[in-house]
Amino acid sequence: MSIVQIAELSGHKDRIWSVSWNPSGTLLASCGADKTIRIWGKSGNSWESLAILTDAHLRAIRSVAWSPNGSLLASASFDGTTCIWDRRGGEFECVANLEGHDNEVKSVGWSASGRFLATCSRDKTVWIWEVEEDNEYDCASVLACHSQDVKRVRWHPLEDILASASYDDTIRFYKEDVDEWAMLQTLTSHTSTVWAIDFNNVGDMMASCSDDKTVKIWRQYLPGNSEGVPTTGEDPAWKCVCTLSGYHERAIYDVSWCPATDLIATACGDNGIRVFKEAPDSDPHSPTFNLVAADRDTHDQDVNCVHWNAKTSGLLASGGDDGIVRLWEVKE
Amino acid sequence: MDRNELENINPDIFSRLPDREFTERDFEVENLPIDQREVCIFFSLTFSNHIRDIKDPEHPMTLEELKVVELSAIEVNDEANFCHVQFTPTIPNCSMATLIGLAIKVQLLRLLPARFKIDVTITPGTHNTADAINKQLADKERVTAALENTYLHTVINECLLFPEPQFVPRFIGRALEETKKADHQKVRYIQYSRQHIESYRRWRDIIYGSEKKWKSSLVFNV
Repeated sequence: MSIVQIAELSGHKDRIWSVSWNPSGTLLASCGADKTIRIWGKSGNSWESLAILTDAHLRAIRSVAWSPNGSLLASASFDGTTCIWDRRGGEFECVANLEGHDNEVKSVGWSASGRFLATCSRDKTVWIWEVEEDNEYDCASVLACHSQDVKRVRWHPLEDILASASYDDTIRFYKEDVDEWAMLQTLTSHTSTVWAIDFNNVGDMMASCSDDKTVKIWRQYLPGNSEGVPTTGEDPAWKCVCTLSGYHERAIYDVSWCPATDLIATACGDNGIRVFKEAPDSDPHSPTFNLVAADRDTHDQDVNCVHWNAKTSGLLASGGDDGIVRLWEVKE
Repeated sequence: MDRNELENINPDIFSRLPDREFTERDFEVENLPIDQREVCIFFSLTFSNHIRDIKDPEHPMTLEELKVVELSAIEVNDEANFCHVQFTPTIPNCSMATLIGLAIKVQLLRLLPARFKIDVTITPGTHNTADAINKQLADKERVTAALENTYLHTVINECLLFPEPQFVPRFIGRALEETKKADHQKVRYIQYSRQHIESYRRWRDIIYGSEKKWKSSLVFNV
């Protein structure tokens, strides 16, 4: 397979921290240290800037995420707040500002049902917000399970189950249990900061990437599984079934699992993007993943984020410390 | 700072290595345009003079005089865009170690072109919480966020200010005159670059103006 650049989108004045495709794959949002969010879209055959969202945050914007129906965009900032942007009027308007974290908010994500929003922060907590009518967001829970800076939150693609990754080297799972959010499981295996996590399309597997230069693949085991993986009560348990080591030279800052093609892309501090694919004959409980494409010079500096387009197979967006958003076509 | 509050009251003091002497060889890189040679001067100065002259947060001495940094503990590979600096805290429980490491890191991030990967770590076995500090210094997200803190930014900037001007060796002066660059702004900035960190920035922007590949989040808030 090969990775071919199809667009180079410049405009950000500083490093890019996050890129995110809307669910229909028509718009890309990017954000970064210059405190702006840019919306990119296709016009004819070329990609161009459609909107620049400014003046909502006082410090770097670390993360952006679209709601499941694509009508809302959430942005999380080092200024400790999370903004909700509404594009129903045709233009993006900041309709809510969620405050509460003690310091930098590192990540934001919407649950599959659209009922919940999660944020996490350097204050070691994960907050779950309940989405009410009229742009009201109620804090449903503050989860203080991690012992360090929480880097990433990611919802399960089908159920309202949340996973978080932290500087304390662990990943934790949470679920609502009769109006109370509780932690289900702590995953330990990485030996340094876990920067990012992402689920596959059906949510029975998850990839994580770390400062320890490895990617780990986790599998969900249901109660009573024939492999004998221990579970608690009705809840599934997650187990590390594969570690990809020796491929990355520096910290891996992001991982994206493509819902359309099942390819896994990583963003690395060595300026490279790598794409992995599960071997066709691999054992599901001890799978083999092969490096199927790699480009060591995708950005001039660290690559901070990658995100697959859910609708166009093989279309990948990336952002880096060089302030450029790039679009790639990954194909046979 | 009140003397009673010092953590290490009587640090050992070591002598400063003499300034690196520039030879004509440094500027005889074949077929390089003058700008490239200026970059060479810049690199040489960076490693021989800049890190070692960072001021200790407690004492009115440089990191070199306290043997926190040594030339032999610096590894640079220009071609591979790689720079690794090991530093040695004066005492194994020094609470300033993170701050010192951060000052070294910030200095390198600002002065080296952005293509460089910069690692700053504690010399193994010289600090009680070396692993935790190394992890913090390697986390670019926390380093960037820390620098958005005005107080910390000020403290670090104070560690990075140098008083003395710097002189360009005579033969370089001659070479510059021959190429009619002696009066060029760039050259002046090089000569006075150590006077103030702000002039580094202007000087840097002029030399690398076309390249513009700097860690912009780390640029000074003057």
